[in-house]
Parts: sequence; C-alpha cells; structure tokens
Amino acid sequence: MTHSRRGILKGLSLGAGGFLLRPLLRQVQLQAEGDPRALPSRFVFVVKSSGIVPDGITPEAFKGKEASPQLFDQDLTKVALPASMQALNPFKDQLAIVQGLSGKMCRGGHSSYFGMMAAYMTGGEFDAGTVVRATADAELAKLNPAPFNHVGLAVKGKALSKSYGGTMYPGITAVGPGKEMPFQGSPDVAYEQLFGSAVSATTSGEKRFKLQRNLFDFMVEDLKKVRTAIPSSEHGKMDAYLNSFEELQVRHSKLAGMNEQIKANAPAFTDKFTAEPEEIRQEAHFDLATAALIAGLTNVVTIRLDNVNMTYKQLGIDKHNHGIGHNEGTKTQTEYRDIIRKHHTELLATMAGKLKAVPEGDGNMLDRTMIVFVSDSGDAHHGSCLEWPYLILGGASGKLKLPGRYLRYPKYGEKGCRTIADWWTTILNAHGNPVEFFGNEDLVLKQNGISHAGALQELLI
Amino acid sequence: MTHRQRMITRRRTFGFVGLSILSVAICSAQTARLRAPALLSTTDVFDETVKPFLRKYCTRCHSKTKHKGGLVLSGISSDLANGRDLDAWKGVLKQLVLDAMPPAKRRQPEQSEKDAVIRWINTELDKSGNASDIYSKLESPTFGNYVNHAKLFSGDVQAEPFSPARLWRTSPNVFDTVKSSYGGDTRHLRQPFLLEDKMGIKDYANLLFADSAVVNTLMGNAGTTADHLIKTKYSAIASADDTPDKTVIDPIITKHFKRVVYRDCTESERANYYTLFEKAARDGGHAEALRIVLMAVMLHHESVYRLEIGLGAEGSEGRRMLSATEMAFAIAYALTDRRPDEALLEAARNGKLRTAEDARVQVQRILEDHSIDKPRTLRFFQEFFGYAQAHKIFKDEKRSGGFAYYGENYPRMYERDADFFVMHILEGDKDVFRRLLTSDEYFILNRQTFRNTVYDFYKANQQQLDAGEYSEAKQQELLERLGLRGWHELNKKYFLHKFNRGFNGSIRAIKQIAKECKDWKNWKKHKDEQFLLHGMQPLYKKYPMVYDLADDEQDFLLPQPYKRPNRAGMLTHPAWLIAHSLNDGTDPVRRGKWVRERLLAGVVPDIPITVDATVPEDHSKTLRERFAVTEQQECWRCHVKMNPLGYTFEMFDDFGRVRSEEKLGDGGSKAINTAGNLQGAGDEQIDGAVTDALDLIHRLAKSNKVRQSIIRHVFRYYMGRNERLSDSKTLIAADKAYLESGGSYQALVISLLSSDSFLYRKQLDQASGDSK
Repeated sequence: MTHSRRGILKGLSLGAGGFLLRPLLRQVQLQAEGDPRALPSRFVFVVKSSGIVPDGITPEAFKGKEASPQLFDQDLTKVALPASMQALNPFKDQLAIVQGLSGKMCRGGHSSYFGMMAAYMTGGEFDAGTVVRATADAELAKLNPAPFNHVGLAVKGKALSKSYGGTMYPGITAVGPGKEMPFQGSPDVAYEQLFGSAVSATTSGEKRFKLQRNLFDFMVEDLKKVRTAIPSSEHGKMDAYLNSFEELQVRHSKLAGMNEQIKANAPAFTDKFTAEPEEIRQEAHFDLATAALIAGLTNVVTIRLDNVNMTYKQLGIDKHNHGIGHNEGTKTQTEYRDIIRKHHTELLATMAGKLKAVPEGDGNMLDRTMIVFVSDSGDAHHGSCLEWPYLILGGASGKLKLPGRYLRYPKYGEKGCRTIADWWTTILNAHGNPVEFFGNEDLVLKQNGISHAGALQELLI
Repeated sequence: MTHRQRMITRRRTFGFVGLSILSVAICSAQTARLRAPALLSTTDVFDETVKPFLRKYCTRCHSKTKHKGGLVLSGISSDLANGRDLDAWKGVLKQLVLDAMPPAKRRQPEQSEKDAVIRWINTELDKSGNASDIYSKLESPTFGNYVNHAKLFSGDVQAEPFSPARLWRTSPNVFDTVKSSYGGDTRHLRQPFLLEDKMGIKDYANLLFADSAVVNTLMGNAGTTADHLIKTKYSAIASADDTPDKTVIDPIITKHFKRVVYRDCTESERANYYTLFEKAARDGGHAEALRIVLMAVMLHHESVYRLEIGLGAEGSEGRRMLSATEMAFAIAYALTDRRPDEALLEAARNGKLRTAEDARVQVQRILEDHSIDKPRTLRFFQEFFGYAQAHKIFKDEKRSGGFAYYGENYPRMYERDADFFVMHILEGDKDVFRRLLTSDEYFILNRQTFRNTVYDFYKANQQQLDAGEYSEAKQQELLERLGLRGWHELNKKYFLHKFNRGFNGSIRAIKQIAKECKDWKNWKKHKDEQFLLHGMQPLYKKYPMVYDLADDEQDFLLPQPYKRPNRAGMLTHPAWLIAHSLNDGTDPVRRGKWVRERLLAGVVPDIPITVDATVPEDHSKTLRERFAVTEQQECWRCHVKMNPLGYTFEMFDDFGRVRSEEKLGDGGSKAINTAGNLQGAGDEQIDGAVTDALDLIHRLAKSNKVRQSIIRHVFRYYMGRNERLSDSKTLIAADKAYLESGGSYQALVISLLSSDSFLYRKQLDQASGDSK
C-alpha cells in the first residue's frame, strides 16, 4: 500500500502549487522520497457529550488508590480494563488513560464548547460564545497538511441542539479567531466530498467533482481579465482572490491524481451512509474517517459523536443523554453509561484495528496516529471542570510517552496539580508547535501560588 | 506631497503584499519593478553615500565601544544578501522612515540625505529577496499617529485631498444584511468576511483580502444557495429532459446577477456565463451546469470587493471623482450596513450624485431619517473606545465577591450599558466628545429592565388599560419612557427575550408582559410587587456593584440615566475599565497608552523584543509601587508617555469600582496613589500635574488637540485608511464643522463624507512611486 501510494505521490506535479499548498507539496515530496521523518502524524478527536465519568474508565486495580498528592503513574498493560472497555484489550500497549487534569479556565455545564480544546471560558447554555483562538485539533491540522486539512464529522450539533444532518456547527473546533470549523453531519454528503473525485455513490457526484474544474477555470480566467482593469496598486488584493481559485485548481488536480489511491481505500457505498439511526451514522462517520486517513486525504479528523439531546435507541436505551445525566429512566446512570461506553470503545477499536493493518515505515499506521477520546463537558453530565478524563489510543508517532500508561494527576488545588491547557501545550509541543503556553491560565491556581503553566514534561520524549 | 511621503506611497503596495499570503511569484514581480535604476553600482553608493551618512549621524552612539541599545553600526556589512546584518539594516530603515533617529537633540540629516540612504537600503533589501514591514505597518491603524499632528492642522498643507483608487473588501456586516437577497436559505450561509477581533478600528481597505479562507466559505455559500435555488425555483428546468437554451438560461443569470452583484449584468458578462453553462452542460448535464453557473455568479468579484476607482469627472492634481454609482455605494456603506437605498440609486441615475453638495444632501438625508438603521455610528464609538472588548477579559468570580459569570456574562451587559450611554449623547448631538469624556450620567440595564418598565407603566395605568382606554398621549408616554421614537426601534435598541421581540405597545402586548411578570417564579415565591419591580433578579444581584451600588439600591427602571458620583464619561465607565484591565488587576500602562494614542495623537513605540515585560511580584506593595521598575532610564523613555496618565485610573479597581485602598497579596491593604501628570496636550492651561483620573479627564475634555485627535479617528473609520498630510484640508474643515455646529457628530460626519478625501480618487502607480 505505502509503496503504491508513494508512486502515485511521486507522479504529482509539484510545480503548479499555490503558496498555501506548498507545505503540503513539500511533505508529499519528502514522502515520495521515502523519508520516514516526513510521514505525517495523524489525529482523531472523538468528542462525546455528557462527560466521561472518571470512575467508568478506571481499571478496577487502580480504584481507590489514587487520592495521592503525587502523580499516580502506572503501567496500564498489567491490569485488566473495565468490562465496558474490553474491545480495547488488543490495543492495551497502545492505550493510555489520563485523569485528573483540571479545566477551570473553561465554562462547565453541558458543554465547554471551544474551551475543551482551546482552554478558555466561552458560551452559555445554548450559545458557543466567542472564538478567541484556533482549537488544538485545528493547530495540529496546520502542522500536518493534506488535501483536506481538517475533516469535521458530526452526528449531532451543539450540546442541546436538535440539528441532525447537513452542515453543523457543534461549537467545539475553530481554525482561528472568530472562525468556527463546519462539520458535516450527513455521511453520504461527506462521502461525496471526500471520495467523490474517484468514486461516487451517485452519478452526479463524480460529475460534480469534474464540473468544479469548469468553475475554477472560469473564475481564474475571469479574474485575470478583471485584474487588467484595476489600478496596479490594487493588484495584490485581486491576486489574493485569484490565487485562491488557482489553489483549488491544484487541489482538484491532486485529487484527480490520487484517483487510484482513493478508489483503493474508499469504503463501498452502502445504505450505512444514508441510514437515519444515530448509532449507524456514528459507524458511518468512523468508516469515513478511517478511510480518509488511510487514503492520505487528511491527517486530522474531529468527530462529534453525539450530544445530550440524543438517545441510543439501537442500544436499547430508552432515555436521551440528558435524561441519563439527570438520573432518569429505568436503569441507573452507571448502567446506561456502561452500555454506551461499550459501544464507543468498539467504534474506537474498529478504527484502531483498521489503521494497525496498514503497514507504514517500520510499523503501521496506528503507530503514527493519536486517537483522543474526550467529552466537551469533561468529567460529568454537568462538567465540573475539576478534572477532564482522556482516553488515548495509538502510538502518537512516538512523540509522547503515553502508550501503555495510566496517569492520574493530583487533585485540583493540590501542589503538582495540572490543567488541560498544560495538556494541549504538551501535545502541540511534541508535534512541532513550540507555543510556550496554549490557552488561558487558571488564575485561581496562579493566585494560590500553584505554578502550572507549561508542558507536562513527564510526557515529552 | 513631500518626498518622504512619496517614498512611503511608492513602497506601500509592496508592503501589503508582504503582509498577505500571496505566492512568491507576485512578490518577486513587484520587487523587480521597485528596484531603483542602477546608475551607480550599489557598492559605490554605499561607500559614497551610506557609509558617510552612518559616520556623520549614527556611529557616535552605535559604535563598537558605545553600542547604544545593543546596536553597532560601525563596520556593518553592506552585503545584505549574506543576512548577517539584515535585521540591523531593517532597523535603520525603520528609524529613518519614522523620523525616529537621530534623536531630536542631535544633529539632523537633510531629507535628501535620508532619502538616498532609504533608497539604497530598499534596493539592497529587494536584491537580497527581503522586505521591510515598515511600509505595511504605516498603513495599519496603530501607525496612524505617525503623521505629524501639528502639521496636519497647521493650515500650511496646500495639497488637494484624495483617497487612493482602491478595492475594499465587503464588510461582515454588509454581508449579513445582503445575504437574504441571494435567494438561498440564509441559515446555511456562513460569514466569509471576518475581521480580526482586536482593539481599534478594524475595517481598513488596505489590510483586508479575500484569501483562500474567504474563498472556502464563499464556495460553501455558493453551493448551498445554488442547491436551494434549483430546488425551490428552477427544479423544472433542472429536471427537464432537454438542455434548456439561451432564452431560458439568460433570464436566470440576469436575475441572479442582479441579486448578488446589485447591478445589471452586461451583455458580455451574460455571454461568458452562458458559455460556461454550455461547456459544463456538455461535460456533466444541464442540471449540474445550472448549479455551476449560479455558483459562478455568487463568486463575482464585486460581491467580494467594492470597487472605488474614481470613474467620475476629472479633477485637479490627477484626481478623479467617484462616479455616481460609486458614490452611492460609498455613502451607503459609510453610514449603513446596507446597499444604497432607492433614493441614492435614483439620485445616481438622475445625475444628482456628481458634486460634494450632492453628497452632502444625501448624507444629511440618511442621517436625519430615523427609519434608516445606522449601526455604523455606534460601531465607531465601540471601536474607538474599545469598551466592547470587556467580555473577553476573564475575571475571577471569587475575588470580586459575587461577580457572576456563569450564564449571563456581566461584562457583555456592561458593554450594552456603555452603548446606551453613547446613544443617549448622540441623540442630543451637542458637545458630543466633551460629554462622552465627562458625563456622569450612566445607564444601568439588565434583561429585566424593559419588561419591568412596561409592567410599571401598566400598574400606573391599570384601570384605563383594563377598560380598553389607551390614548395617543399615553402611547407616546410609554415610548418616551423607553427612549424610543417608534416601536420599530425596539429591537435595535434592546436585546430582548425571544418572546418579547414582537412587542408593539398595544394593550394586549402590555397585558401579556404583565402576565409574564406574574408568572415569574420569584414573584410566585415572594408575592411582593416591590421585589418584582425594584429588585434585581438573583442572577443580576451583583450586577450594579461596578457602579458602586449595593445590590438593591436602585430600581433600574426606565427612563434613565442615573447620575453616578466619582465618574467622568466613558473612560471611567466599568465597560471601558474592564476592557482595559488584566484578568487579575488594573493595567495602568495600557490605559495610559490608550490616552496617549487616542486622545493626544501621540506615538508609543512597540515594546522592544528584548524587554521581559513582567511586573515583579511583591505582596507588600501596590501595583503602582511595583511599577517602579519602569522608571529606570531605558524604560522611562517610553513609559513616561503612558504611566503618569494610566496611574490616575488607580482610583478604580479592575472591576471598575471606585476604591481608596488597594488590596495586597499579603492580605493587607494600602492607600492608593492616583497622582499623575499630563504632558502633550500642547496647552499650558491643560498640561501639568493631575490629582486623579477625573481631574485628568476634565482637562483633556477642554483640549483642542484631544478633539482633533478624536476627529482623526473618525476620519480613519469612515475613510477606511490612515490620514496622510494631504488630507489636511479635509481634517481642518471637519474640525471647523464640528466646532461651528456646537459639537455635532452629524455635522462632523457630513463634512467628512462630502470632503475631497471621501469623494476623490487618485491612481497611485507603484512603478514610479509618483501619482499619475
């Protein structure tokens, strides 16, 4: 697979690149030359609603032993995972659980919105608020360019919204100040967008892709003519517009050139991609994400898995997540959560398995992937922000000392306690963004003389 | 135009290309044109001109032995391509362009000497593939004050004012009002034209581009709109078996073009679109082809950039007036967020938009017509004062003693209060700037204010209203109480709950509000009319604290404002104080910088990169005491411009509450010191020691320079650019119009929008650097 892919990449024209595609093309070139350092790092952020209850992902062996003022650092591979997480057993050496990081610089409640991955307070009950900076997932996408720099797939929108399907704005990812990233909610549309250049569910899909070229060519020709009629001092502005279409032409050619690679990896279009039930839609999104990663169409995917308004009917659950969070229904909250967690970890395991099956460099694709499972309301249905559990799957490109570890940071307010801003700083630093501190500081910790602002050194290689 | 200005102009386009993310190909093409003619070899120029210049004016301080500021210019390499002294040369260029070096007390070079050195550095930078960012910086709002204030208002400048012929990217607000006319489903349209969310005036023509981020959003918008149109309007055409011909497609193009571009499509434009349709139809069928054509129209460059070329009558000094259509758009976008209204378009069609007087008539008409929404007026004050940034400063709730953040964002609501403060003064339109700076009449509103006021009105008139009696005079009374000219203004002025937005002042609507009040759970609990009307909801309990009010000290009903002691205008308004504070403390430096730059037309250089700007921790000292570090000689050179102004605001804490003591880190407290010093107002009566912020502000409000400095900012806002010396006549006339009208903001705006700076354009040719 990797060899044939290299061949295709080599065949791409490198001369025609617009400025924005340059880093991408440079990387493509290095990859084509077989330089392992040039292999991309991949990221999948799986964002669930209603919190990840810390106890639910804690192995039985560690329960009750962790109320320590020091960092609780254990070998995860030596203990049994909770029953609801058995699907992850084959990947234990590539699994990490990080607990105890606080996020008090964020809004709690049903969703911390962009705060979850950008560490600041924003939003209200129904409103995601202001975007002050790009979120960490988007920053990582900038470092690992691909034809689709960052793919957002969503089953549901904002915490309490009813939106389903189509373009959605769940309020969790932003590409820059004021720029929220749109998510695609309809798997069939996402399928067209990602794979439509080579394979298409509908005849119009491939046609549409080919016809886009007509539009780009038209715009480029038209703008070139317009350029001559405006003062030369203003050419720069018109050129910015013109060049953007030239870049789209290049991406179009690139995708056309990746035809075989896309064909080989695109999932077969089945009714899974048009099915209505949410659980099937989740599967569809996972399939799309995995295939897009393997085909080299993207290196970063963020999946909005559900929201509090959603009911896992196919799993036999009779209450929506909001009701479960408020202890409604026929079962206990813990029972409900176990059922849902089992389903989620199976989705993660399937994705990990597929990536592991693809050789890459000296290992496989999972080695260079970091799947982060997280909730936009942190530790509970109404997030307290006192701690923010993370479940990490994959080798993280060997850039973080995470695989196989169970970590619990000291409680909020204890000396040595750390925050999610430190966590995102760590991940960004490890992958080449030298930011000294990403996000907002926790002022209460700061005032109490607990210094925290910086990367988690124990995780850095 | 002075020679220096010409040099700046000459380099400008290159500068902004450097700012943007354009391809290298474009940059190098421009640098080629900008290279100076090489009459002498550059080494000769260096030896004969530059080296002696350095020796004469620079190396006395910047030598190997003295190296002031860490800079050594003796023995500097003339080979910029080797990169060793590149930064040093960029530094030299910047100092010369900004007239910052040599220091004023030293011998000054002739302009021609400086120009020769500037030219040599630019040529060498170009050759080595580098560029200085100083020219693009000069175009940015933060560098506006580098144009000499005294010269600008001296009356000595005889140049005829103009704006450069230009493209100006569509503003986000215009997009918001225009999008509904595209014919698609507006819920699926996203904002393509974002502005950087920062302090100050944001919408500058030269700084905004339609880059690939903009295009990505536009493509999405175009696709969804085309889909929607085909589904709702053209489904029969799309699903027909035969490919429709020109007679079917042309009207669709014509109509869509008018919707998007807001003018008639030319014959050749229509033909181009039809050719695209034919080609696409051959490749992929007519349904998809129709989609592509609709998208192409949506992406027309005139929906992205407005063109202000100057297509009207020729004027003196190579200037051309805006054409009637250009003028209609320019006036509409200066005052409103909408395209030109029918009256403007009609004036344009009938030859009534040709002169400055024509412009004046239209501007006055729009300003005086209260049915026309003019959000740009308030937006100027939001951007100028920067108070609308308060919600971004995160305050620790605990430290405040109950400053609620959760749910409702208090600072966001204080910003609204500040809006009301501004609107109230603008409604009077007398002595506007002085009142903005000194008025102690504040509005304090919460989400309940509107509803409670209506309820209070109902209680006072319950008998009549219940009997269905509701006189014209009574209706007027309610409107006046709410500060409205008509019910159409309701939602422009108040951010109401969704279910109150349809309020129309009728008896039924009033009774509905009364019912809502009685249904409110706290009413049910307390059954206390007093509590209902005169208390804050628990959620807003601590809201009044920043106005030095106890929880239930005021009833907060309309009409307002309230007089607040120890306050003077916007700079003591909690919204401004919070916006200009730190998360956990006040910010005398930034406040001082604000006053220096916005009110005193002063210049404070960027903080040197070598400076680690941290205030030492010492829990036994006040912030001001800890700021003593800035009084060291090398710091004080700049800090003297800011600190003595900013310290006066220490009479308020960082939430905006008046205080006499500062709480210290060690748990104790100390009396605050609010003494400061005002220098630079250029008036002996005004300059001098001040006791506190109130004293400072009342002096500032009397200053001519302060008034003129605000007018310079108004100019920048409406022109979308920094002023040049050649705008001198416009600014002097605007100042005069303001003074003669007794401080009317409207009169000021009318003067600016009928000025040559607003109405004339001049093509600046980058090749020669001179205007054509």
